[in-house]
Amino acid sequence: MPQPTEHQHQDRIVVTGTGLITALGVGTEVNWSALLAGGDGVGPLHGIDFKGAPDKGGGQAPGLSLDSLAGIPPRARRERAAAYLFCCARECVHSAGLEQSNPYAPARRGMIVGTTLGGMNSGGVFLESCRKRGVGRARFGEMRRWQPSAVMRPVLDAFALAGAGITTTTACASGLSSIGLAMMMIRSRRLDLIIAGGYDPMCVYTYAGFNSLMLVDGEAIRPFDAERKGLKIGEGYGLLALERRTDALRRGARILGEVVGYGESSDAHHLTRPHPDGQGAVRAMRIALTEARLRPDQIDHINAHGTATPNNDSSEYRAMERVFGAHLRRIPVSAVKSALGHALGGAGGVEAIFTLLAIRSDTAPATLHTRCVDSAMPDLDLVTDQPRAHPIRHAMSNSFGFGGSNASLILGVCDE
Amino acid sequence: MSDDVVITGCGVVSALPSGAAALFDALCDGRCGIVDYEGVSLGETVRTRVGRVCDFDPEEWIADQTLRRMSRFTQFAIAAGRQAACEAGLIEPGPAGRFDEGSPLAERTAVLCGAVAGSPPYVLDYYMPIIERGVVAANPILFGEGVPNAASSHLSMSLGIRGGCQTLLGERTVGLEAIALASEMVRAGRYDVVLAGASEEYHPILTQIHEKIGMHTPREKIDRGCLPFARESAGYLMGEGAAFVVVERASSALRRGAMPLARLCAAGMSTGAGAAAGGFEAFETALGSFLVPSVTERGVDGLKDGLVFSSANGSVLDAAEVGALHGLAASPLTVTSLAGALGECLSMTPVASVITAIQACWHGRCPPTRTTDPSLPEGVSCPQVTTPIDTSSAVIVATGLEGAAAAIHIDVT
Repeated sequence: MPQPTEHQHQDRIVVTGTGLITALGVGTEVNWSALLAGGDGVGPLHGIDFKGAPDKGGGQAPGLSLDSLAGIPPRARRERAAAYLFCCARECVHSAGLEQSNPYAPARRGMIVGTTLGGMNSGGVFLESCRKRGVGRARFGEMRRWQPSAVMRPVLDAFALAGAGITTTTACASGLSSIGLAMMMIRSRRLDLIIAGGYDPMCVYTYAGFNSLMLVDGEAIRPFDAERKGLKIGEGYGLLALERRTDALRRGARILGEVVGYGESSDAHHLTRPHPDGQGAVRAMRIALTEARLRPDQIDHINAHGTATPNNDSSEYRAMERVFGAHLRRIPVSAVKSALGHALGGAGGVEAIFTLLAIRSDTAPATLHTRCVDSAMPDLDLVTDQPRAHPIRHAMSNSFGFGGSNASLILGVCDE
Repeated sequence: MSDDVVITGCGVVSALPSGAAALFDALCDGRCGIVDYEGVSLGETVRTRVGRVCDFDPEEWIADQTLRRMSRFTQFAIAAGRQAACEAGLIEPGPAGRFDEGSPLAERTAVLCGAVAGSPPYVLDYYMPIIERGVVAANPILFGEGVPNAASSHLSMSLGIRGGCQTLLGERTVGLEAIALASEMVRAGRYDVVLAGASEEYHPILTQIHEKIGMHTPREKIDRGCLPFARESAGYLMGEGAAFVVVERASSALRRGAMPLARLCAAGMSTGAGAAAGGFEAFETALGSFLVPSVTERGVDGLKDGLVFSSANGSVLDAAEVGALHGLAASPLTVTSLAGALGECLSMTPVASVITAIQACWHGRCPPTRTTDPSLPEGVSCPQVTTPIDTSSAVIVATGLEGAAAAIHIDVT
């Protein structure tokens, strides 16, 4: 097992701001309240032309209010992902107290986000217009907005994030991968402040793809249920402001929590199926624990990837079983995709924020719709029906993606 | 040296012969990989010239049974990644060479692949039927193989790499950004070895799009080729390929008997955001914001020896890039570019430039830039024949739209 170097422990990384948009609403506190109240963001999908095929529903973010739209640069308004990402980043920067006064030079600030789609909706508009009117008369703007770099560009410009503008993709683990990269860049002192997380818009591209792989279920999402049949596509934007604890304290920032450990791995097994025993997931979780210098029994809550597909949930359970052993029985596990749908590249950032809020509130959110936990998962303490009050000092959030990408993040209370 | 981050293996697939040495020889011989191309895209027949990878046999590099399902984007990445891993002594030669099952080093090795376009054919073949006929027309194989991280994932599967495998999406700077992040990962102790690079596959839609934005050479002028720095340049021609390098600590490389090919002295990136001027004028600010501190941070002034591999491609970006470099350099600069020989391969060209720069420093020869009548500031020269050089280091730069910039400084001492 790799040991973290001294370098990895010389700086503590804290979260000082968050921005969150999901099917449950716009804004971090709106989302948390809705999740605790048992809100279900999954419903019929709007704006997708199914051309006669059934709409199996999904977790689509609500429309932006006029207040939210105000101040979004015109170029960001033309692509859904860009508009929502901007809105999310604005909340993140504002909650970090950096909107009016930012002590970091532009070259010391950056943004690292994960996505699977970027501006794929604009790509679809561009291709549709090419098909109907010919390439010569298609609009370049739609093509440019297709690029992930163009989706983040309005955020980079508005907040003068000059040090890095990185879009990474590890499929559905992308959001956590970006946080892992950000931790490294801050610890290495390349940058002082990074807005990190993930996003993915609702788009027919992925809906159709997951549907063709028979992974989308028309009924409710039931993670870890004995009769789980599949996922629903969600939409999500989750960003965290990350900086060194010493810098945050110096500028008097409100510290929301600490990012204490990150681990990642590849299954090297199959492009679209997880390793059945969750070997790669085991490694990611163990590396995160090692970096956090925590034992498995010191994890008080797990936000599971929990997509509700038969293979994913089985593989994830086996991995948790191997990592946590007998301790797993006393760790409340939540699977919030049951309320949001699967936000794909956005899931890691979105769920890292929910994990942070669970720590803040000492409350594990409920997993909706799961009626009977799979009997093959006897040690799983899945929180169902109601949120559960439970002391949480350290919590783990997991994301796994196509290509066998696995990522695990541990967040904790930031002690003085 | 023992604490340095070094490159121990290089691999490249391009319009010229595969492999670092073969590419360098071909470049020094003045060869050009740009060929006539005709294809159909979005109902339009596109006749153009492209730095096309011809005579590529994926079976030479890939033993996987799913090879035929893979896009060329993925196949190129595996071929170039395999060459690099092989040269670094990480795996055995041949299409089946891979890390041993359970190898600790496999878990301490990661993949970082940059891409701008990835595999346009797979995205189009998957997406267009959905646009036309709805969700029922989705092809699950094309969906899986068309995801942007397919190349890095297949590379990790093919070689048995079990550390993280990420794809960086963005401007043509992302290949160098992958190397920069790989260097950070190794320095931070996150990984012992990182296979970093970029892959791009050509499709005629790229020509159509780049024509549309006015950067591609107009079709009536394509016979003039792709002429970096040229006074009369009309734009660039597209290309394709993949290039990867193995990045690791010198101490661990030497311990396992691998020979460091070059030291990664400095690497950096900038978005250009917040620059006083928008558009292309942001390049100078972007480059200057990190290049000056980064070239000196390891005690070596990257621009002192004056050899620069530029991402110039015959477009309006050339002048901004060279102007920014010229403003930063205290001494005369020799600037070269591969775009005239390979075409504009987006994120791949700068990585191929890193590999070529290593060869150039080793062999004491700078390959020529295929161009005519270059327009350069005083003190900046662009060799049009293979030129002897007396330097052990080079700076490789890449610039992208809206001020994005990245640079790598290598030294072979």
